[in-house]
Amino acid sequence: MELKQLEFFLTISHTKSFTRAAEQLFVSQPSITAGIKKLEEELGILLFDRSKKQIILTREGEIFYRHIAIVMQDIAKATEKMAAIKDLSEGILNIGLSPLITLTAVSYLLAKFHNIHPTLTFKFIENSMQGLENSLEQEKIDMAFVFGANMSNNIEYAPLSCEILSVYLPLFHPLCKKSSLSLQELRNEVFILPTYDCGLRCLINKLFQAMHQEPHVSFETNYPQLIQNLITVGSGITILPTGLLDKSILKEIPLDHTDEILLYIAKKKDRMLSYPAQKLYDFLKNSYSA
Amino acid sequence: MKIKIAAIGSNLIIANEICTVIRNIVGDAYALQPIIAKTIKSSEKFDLYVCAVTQGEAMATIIPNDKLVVLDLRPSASFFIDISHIPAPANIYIFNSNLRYALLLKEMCEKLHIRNLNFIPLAYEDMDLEAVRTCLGKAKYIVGVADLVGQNALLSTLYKSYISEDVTIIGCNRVATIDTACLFLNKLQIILNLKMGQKIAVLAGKLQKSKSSHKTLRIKTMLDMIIRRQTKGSAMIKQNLLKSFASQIDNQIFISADNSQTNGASMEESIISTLNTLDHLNIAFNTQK
Repeated sequence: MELKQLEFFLTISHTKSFTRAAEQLFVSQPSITAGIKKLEEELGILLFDRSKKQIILTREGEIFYRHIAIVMQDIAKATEKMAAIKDLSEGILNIGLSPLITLTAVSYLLAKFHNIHPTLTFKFIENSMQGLENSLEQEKIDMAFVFGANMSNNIEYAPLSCEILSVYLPLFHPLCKKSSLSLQELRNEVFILPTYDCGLRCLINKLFQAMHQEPHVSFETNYPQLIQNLITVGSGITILPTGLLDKSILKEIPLDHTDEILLYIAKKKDRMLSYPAQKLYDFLKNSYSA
Repeated sequence: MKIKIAAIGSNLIIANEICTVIRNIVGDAYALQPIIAKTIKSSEKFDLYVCAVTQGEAMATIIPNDKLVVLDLRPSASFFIDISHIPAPANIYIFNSNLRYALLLKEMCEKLHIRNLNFIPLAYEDMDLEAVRTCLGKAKYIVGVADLVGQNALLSTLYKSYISEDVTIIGCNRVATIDTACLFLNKLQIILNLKMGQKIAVLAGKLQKSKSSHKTLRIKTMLDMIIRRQTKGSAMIKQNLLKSFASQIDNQIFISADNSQTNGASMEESIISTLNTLDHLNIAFNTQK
């Protein structure tokens, strides 16, 4: 059976004529006749009484017509319900990023989500912690990836993944041979660290405070490329999430005795997100809750 | 990662019928298990619970909405056409396990203007055995769900000898309405995404920790495989949705799908594209009225 046969049937039922149905559907009358004959054969019933001047539905044809009408109403209902899903086929998702986030694991989930909904556009906006919270509250962004939860009353945080910190040194540094390093061993080093408004800097500072130390900072920047270049030329060392900087030009050594740092996904509390944004939020949250 | 689906029925016959309905929509790709409704006490064992409208309310008190699909099961047109051939006036017994669906069948016949026939519900699980047997002895026409008016119930030793010799039995194979079939596919897609996301997260975690490039490449290949596996089923979904639509018209007919647009499409896109195809027909139907 083909859908056009059903269309033929419905049109003849309305026009009560094979000729008029053919005109209306821009097909030849023999095509319509053949289509209906095939449909009748498949159903095993006679749909139209052709013995009179005006074509009329047989008793079976009438029941079939009413049945089709119910099925059609059902399609309309389904189309309406699926309209929400159609929203997923377009739109821009605005996602905030805390500086110096690696997102190694998250990027695979984002790629997967994009694979399912290829016409969605992801727009990433990098900002400080405070800047991201403000953007979330002002609904300028849908969600944000941040290090550490600031516990703002208006923001909802869900933990996503753990990041491990490493020390990055120039290849000629005497500590390069070590398999791991403690903060104690770094007490005389000069550091290139993220700026104070970056969530990561707060976490690094807390580590030093716990050891009753104060890092000697020579440069403050949130640009990984700049940090990398400064280390290469011997301007200092840094502590950043593992996998962030290029291991072929720098030495990456795990930092000892420090807790893993949590990466969170944040959104404004009680905000009704757009359908695709909510789906992405749930997708990420649920993927990591397992 | 096989998704586990419970097909719920008031009895095993109906539960098996729900299994068949699900297979008609998605094929054999999922682990299906028929379950009797009253044995369900929690929602942990399966990923998705599927039942017919008659069990919907009771199941909603046990199963959370995101794991429950209530299918609206309806007979195809040929069943009603066969009933319309019964010479009026006549008493037609609707043989069914519960009264609710028997009344629904009666209502469907009336909606289709099958008149001058007196429909009498015969809900055998809600009635005294003797009363059922007495009614069956008087019946000249018995209609109902094919599995129930066949060997499993009506033609079983419990009732068979009480049926009069000249009885006409008309059975129907029920199919899910396209509306509820889409709802089912949508919930299935959400669960698939969730499961796949979890698997990807695990692999991505491994990838993050992996230091060997050989191992990294292997994990990446596995990730690609998962993504490919998900998109592979869309052509099948389109085919099965059209089949679901066609089955409502007649169980023996099948509409061939044009799969040219489904390569690489997700299940959701496939549902929407099929609905758009059918909606074209719907628009034609409505504008001609």
